[in-house]
Amino acid sequence: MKFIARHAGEEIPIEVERLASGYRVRVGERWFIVDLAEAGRFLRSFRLEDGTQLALIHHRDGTMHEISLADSTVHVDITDPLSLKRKRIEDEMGAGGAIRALMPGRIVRVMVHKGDAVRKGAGLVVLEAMKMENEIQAPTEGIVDEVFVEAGQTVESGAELVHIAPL
Amino acid sequence: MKVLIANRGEIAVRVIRACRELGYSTVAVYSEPDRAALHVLYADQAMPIGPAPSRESYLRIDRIIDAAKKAGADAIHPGYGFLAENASFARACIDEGLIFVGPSAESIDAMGSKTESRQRMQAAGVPVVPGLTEPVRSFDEIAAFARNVGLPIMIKASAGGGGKGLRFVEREDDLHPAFERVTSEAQSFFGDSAVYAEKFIASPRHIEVQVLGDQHGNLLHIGERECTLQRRHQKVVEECPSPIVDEALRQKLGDMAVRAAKAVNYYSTGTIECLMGPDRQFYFLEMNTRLQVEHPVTEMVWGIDLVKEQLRVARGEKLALRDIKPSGHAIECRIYAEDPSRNFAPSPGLIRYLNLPQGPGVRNDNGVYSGYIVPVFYDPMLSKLICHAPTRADAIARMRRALIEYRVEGIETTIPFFTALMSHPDFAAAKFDTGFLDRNLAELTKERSGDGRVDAAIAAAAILAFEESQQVRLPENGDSPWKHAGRAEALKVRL
Repeated sequence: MKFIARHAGEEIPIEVERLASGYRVRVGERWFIVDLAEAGRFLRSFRLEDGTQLALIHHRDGTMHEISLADSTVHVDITDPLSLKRKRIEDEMGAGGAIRALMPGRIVRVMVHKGDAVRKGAGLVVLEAMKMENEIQAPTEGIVDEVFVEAGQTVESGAELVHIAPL
Repeated sequence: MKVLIANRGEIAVRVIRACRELGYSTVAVYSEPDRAALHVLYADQAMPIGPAPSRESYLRIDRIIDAAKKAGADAIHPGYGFLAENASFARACIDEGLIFVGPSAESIDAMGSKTESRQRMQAAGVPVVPGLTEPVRSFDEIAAFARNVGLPIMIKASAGGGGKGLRFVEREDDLHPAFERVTSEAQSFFGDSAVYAEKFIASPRHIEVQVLGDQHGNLLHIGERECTLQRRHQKVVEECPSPIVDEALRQKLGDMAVRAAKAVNYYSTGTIECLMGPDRQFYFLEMNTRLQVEHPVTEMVWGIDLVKEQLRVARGEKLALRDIKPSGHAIECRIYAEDPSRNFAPSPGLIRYLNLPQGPGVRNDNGVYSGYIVPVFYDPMLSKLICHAPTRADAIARMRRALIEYRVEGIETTIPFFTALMSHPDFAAAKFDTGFLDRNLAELTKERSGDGRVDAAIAAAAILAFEESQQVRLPENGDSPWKHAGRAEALKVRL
């Protein structure tokens, strides 16, 4: 099964296949033969092909996954390509108009001002959620006619961030 | 004997443990959000004392005394913080016929005032940071003081504060210009030109001495603790013994501490805090008239239980400790619900998963559990991790090992900060002063990104997303191994 992982602003193609014992996983260009065993509700023993064992703690919030290793934590969004496409089409259909936060988070940067002309794909706002920075882009070409947020502010899921009048 | 513990969190749990070992029954008190806190779960009885804010619950003397009487308690242990150094509370307990597990109200009062304690310590021959207590009338007085105590000194505006109106003077030639500038700054900033001077202790360490006394005039010291590593004047790591204190210095510190405590007729556990310069000269700072947060490092090294001793002397028993000797080295890390990567911002919330380290030489004085919601109302300290080993190097290695086992998920903690600190070469070499953490904060709080493990973590997340998607699509015939395992578990339970 194919997925798209979004981590640190990058989209990484993923494939997961179940084997008789364990899994074969592609992360970008790299293939892993691994096993993942449940050790209670949150704890998993993750074993790489060479026997390296990582006791990791997993938490999921929607499509956001938090994987805690002994000395670090990785936040990654895992979506299947279809729903990612659907999400994008929805974005395009609602082209212009209200740009909303898809998850609760903190505004790191506001990249546009009221009156700015933006192209499709232009960065509008950087939202930090679960320690990951997400750039929210203009779904269409237009004029920014309202900016509702400022840097440092926290927003709830669904909060309107910017309004664009499409050209 | 029944003891009410007028506190919460790890220290309340700690006191309950000592009471149980002595065969005493225990009464916890709790504010509304603490109804299911760990100290409540551990106690034999638990009494509500009000809403969340401390001043309406844990600081309410009337409600705590009332709870003690309702529960039929004989004694009250105040823990540390909250009412532990409140002389009115100690008096209220005694007035109500309850034993206060701590020193006398008079001792608390005497050490509570900075000026009074300084005077009493000077009278008792205890060294204090040399300084002029009165503003000077002329430059000559400053010059005489500098000659007397030696440079460097600080010249300060009497009305000053906030880092304004003070000068550090290292060279004799700078004395006069510094005096003139501070005097004029004092006038323009604070409208009062009065200045005074104090000896400047460069690169100081913070060393404290544990004392323990009974109500029959017996008082002894139980070695020192190294508490130099502080952030915003808050201790974060403590050690016993101090790596810079040898047997001769320990004896000198101990004698000074006993003299200081005797000057206020002290009994129960107490701590004399000192500042120590690189020349090993030490100066009395203040006395904490209570059990100290970092008491476990002393307990591990000296093989004693300070809380039990406190309870015994509170009942009027004589000190029975004899020939106690230090053995090995202990380190304590204070685990806080704070995010080191965001300037130690508080991180309250649900602890989803908790794994406390175990094994040889590891002690957890813990106040939380998996499934517990860390409230926003109180101190964010969750737990103390203490490691004891034959040598300091072994204790550091043990602490590093324990920190790897230590997992707290759901909230951020100071564990990554301690991991970085335990690997810092200057910590290993015991080369630090009170400014060390602030100077090295960026290095010690650098966020780790998973290094080479990011791809592996993404692969794990993808497998979990994959399993999840299989379950959603095939609710009846899902062949997820998790499900099989779950069914097998369920069957086991039924059989």
